[in-house]
Amino acid sequence: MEHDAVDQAVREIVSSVLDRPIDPAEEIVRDTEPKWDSLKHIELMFALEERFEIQFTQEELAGLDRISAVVDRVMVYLAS
Amino acid sequence: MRHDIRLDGYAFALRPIERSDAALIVGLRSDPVRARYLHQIDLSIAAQEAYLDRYYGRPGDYYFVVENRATHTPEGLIGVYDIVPGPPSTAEWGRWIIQPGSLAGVESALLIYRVAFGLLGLDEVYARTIVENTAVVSFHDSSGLERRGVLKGHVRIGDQQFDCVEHVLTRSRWPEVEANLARRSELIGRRLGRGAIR
Repeated sequence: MEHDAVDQAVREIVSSVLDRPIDPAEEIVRDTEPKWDSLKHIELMFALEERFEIQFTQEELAGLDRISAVVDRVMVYLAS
Repeated sequence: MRHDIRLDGYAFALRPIERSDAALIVGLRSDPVRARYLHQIDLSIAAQEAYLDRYYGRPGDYYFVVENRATHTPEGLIGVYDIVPGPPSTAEWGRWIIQPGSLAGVESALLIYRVAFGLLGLDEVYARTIVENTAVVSFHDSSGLERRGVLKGHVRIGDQQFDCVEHVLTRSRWPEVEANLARRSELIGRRLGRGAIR
């Protein structure tokens, strides 16, 4: 899967979980995104895992806190 | 107050806070990001031991350490307090602080509600969150709590006064919220190897 396709798919999932539109180049950071609470975070992480058929480590589950970081990690998993 | 409530969840547990946890309080509340929306406290172990001594003598106040069940490592603090017998019996929950990188947030909320409704038999619990603390305000919204209103200038931190959003959960709404929180907690529990406990 190409980077752009992963980026778009991640944005669709984040948009769905946070229930708001996300621009193609917009960076969303957990600390500054009002709706990215710890409940939504869990929902988001497991939705990403299901979509890409991957499994984040415990550290990633807790620590992935921005769209760009999520896309980077997903790319690593898909390439391995 | 001194209590002996211990409650296990999927991956995390609540246990009574001990005097020896004073250093834990200081450690967690020394994090400027995590503690920025909590009342300022004296960040010395002696001061927190003195605080806990006063807490032990205060009725209607249940303060807990959030512990990882697998490692028995403390990962946070939470409490339910200011209990009014009623009817309806009510209490506030808060003093909620979870260490960075921990996944204990959702389940610690689930467990404090189980203490409030299941063990203490309360009719209603509420949480007051500084408006600017958007992640926690959103957490209560996402959990399914109702917003009761905004308390103007309810909290003073340093020389600043803050408005608070008051969320409320009643006994009648609790089963729905419990299901919501339990579903996520179980997912985390499974991932941390503790999914089959309950």
